[in-house]
Amino acid sequence: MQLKLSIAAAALLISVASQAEDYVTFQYLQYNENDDRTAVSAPSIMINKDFGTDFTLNASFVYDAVSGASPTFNSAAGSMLDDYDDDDHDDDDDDDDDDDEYSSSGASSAASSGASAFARGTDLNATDVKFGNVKYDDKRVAGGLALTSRFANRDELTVGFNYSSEKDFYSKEASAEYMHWLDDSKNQSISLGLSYQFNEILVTCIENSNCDVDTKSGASQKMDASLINAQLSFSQNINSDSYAKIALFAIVEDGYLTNPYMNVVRNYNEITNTADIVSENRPDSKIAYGASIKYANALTNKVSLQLAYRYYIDDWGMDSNTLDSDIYYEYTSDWIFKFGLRGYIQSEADFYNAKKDYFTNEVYASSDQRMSGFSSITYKTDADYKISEQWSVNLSANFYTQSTGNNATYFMTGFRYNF
Amino acid sequence: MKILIVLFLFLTNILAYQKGDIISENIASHLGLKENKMYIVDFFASWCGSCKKEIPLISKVNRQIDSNKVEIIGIDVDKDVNKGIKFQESLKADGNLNFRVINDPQNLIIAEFNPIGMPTLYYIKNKKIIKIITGAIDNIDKVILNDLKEMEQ
Amino acid sequence: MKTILILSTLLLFSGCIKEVKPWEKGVLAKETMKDGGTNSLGKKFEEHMYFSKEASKGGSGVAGGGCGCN
Repeated sequence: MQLKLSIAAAALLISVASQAEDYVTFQYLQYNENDDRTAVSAPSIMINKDFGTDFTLNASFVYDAVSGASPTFNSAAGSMLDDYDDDDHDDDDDDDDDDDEYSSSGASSAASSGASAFARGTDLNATDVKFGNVKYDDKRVAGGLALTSRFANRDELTVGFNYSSEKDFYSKEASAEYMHWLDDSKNQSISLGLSYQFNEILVTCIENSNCDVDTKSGASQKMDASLINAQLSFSQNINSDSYAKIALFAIVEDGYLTNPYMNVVRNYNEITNTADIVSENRPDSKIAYGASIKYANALTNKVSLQLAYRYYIDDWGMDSNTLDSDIYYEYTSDWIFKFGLRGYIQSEADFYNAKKDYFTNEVYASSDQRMSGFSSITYKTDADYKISEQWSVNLSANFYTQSTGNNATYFMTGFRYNF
Repeated sequence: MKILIVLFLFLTNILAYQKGDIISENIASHLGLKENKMYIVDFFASWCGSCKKEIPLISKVNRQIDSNKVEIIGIDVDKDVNKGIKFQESLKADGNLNFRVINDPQNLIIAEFNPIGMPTLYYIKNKKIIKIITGAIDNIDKVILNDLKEMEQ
Repeated sequence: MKTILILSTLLLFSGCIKEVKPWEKGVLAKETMKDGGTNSLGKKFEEHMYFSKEASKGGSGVAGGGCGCN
């Protein structure tokens, strides 16, 4: 028995390149939300290659074509807008199904970026305040590289770099993770990982936004934000059929953490029929931490179960619980089916409110649904077919649904080639 | 039978063949070891990625040695024998496996050797363990040929 | 939640741990037992999607960020 009881922490890892495998895999994702919101088509590719016995390189690349619409408060005098329930954004059953989009006819150059910025202003007619979809489209390119080095004692150091680029968002990240075997039989390991991410957000400066530059000019300003993520994990093989991993993590963010496309209504006054629609404003720092546990068990020689739970809490008043489960069924030596269920629940941020008549002069304010309290369920299925020792193909169909009324269906299909 | 295996494994937990040890008569006859011949025993499995990479290189060595003096024996420890055989067949088809393989699905042979990792190579002559190489090694073919050269002296 | 985590950690160490020999790791090495299972690239997609639609992150390794989600 090798029990190191002093180690109370454990961690969840998605290990990238630590097996002796050479392969290339391609996946195509088609993601569609309901109510004509976001649609994403994204091909991606990953290559994993060993160099000798001590080095493994993993490279991945994804290209997202994103289009659709995002709901937020905006002022749309005289235009067609889907009438959401003003109080808490529930879909009205009587609403028009077609043409939920509002594309700007506004003057500012900001309109072409799809920002809701055009619909902001002060002393607007209160009756013109609507919560509805705002159109956008974008292309995102992201790539990552991870190099794993193994030492004489077979400990591993993985150094990674990730990059993501959109029209108005650039992200760069460097990470390092060290894995140390705690026993000779390699059934126990501990890992420490650290990453640093630097993000640049292009914000179009219009009235009532958070920019420093002249708000009337419509010029853009680059805002930035940084993120540090630290994770300590512990992994243990329980017996020849199961293992568990536990992790503790902490994430510290600093900088511009507001969503530049999201608006809030301030100073809504029914009597004077005035309201201000302005950019939302989130704090410029966030500290989050949490713990996760993962358990996998080969229940029979054909059925495997993977379970994962994560608890998250931050200083914006949000906390969440995630429970994810996947069952793999090896129907034959060539067919593997997966059925998965994920449940999630989060509490709302301190500065969140969905009502148009709530905010006055509070510093922090957001009506972004992502900051609200809600739960979600994901139903997952996947079929994997092994054509030969080298080739396998897969098809996955999944459904994601939130208590906010937002749903998404996503399909994935692709292949893997072992060389 | 399972209880016997568990007992056996428990007893052999503290026993493992080290360099210089003499292997049991039982194993020697099971492997078909002859006197005054050098044997290289390679423990592998279909699920062991490093093993999969090593086998073609060991087969390469096999083509370069005098089979009267040195014989390579593979021991496949896949618990699912069919999976193991399928794995061996696919390697053979590509010309990457050209040595004799014994299937050890009940893991009795490997339990007696009790290596600390996979893959592991044992150099055995006259039932004596001459050398043990454990784990993934770069250029294993060169290492083996070098070892054999040194051992001849 | 903290209680659950402590309890599960203790359970792990409760003596039901059996040293797994190197040759007994075949099942643990199966695709279906690994993170992402038969589709690790698809799992990356899903992580990105959850991060875009929900406000939580973390717990699944430090690398692989840079998704650019605000």
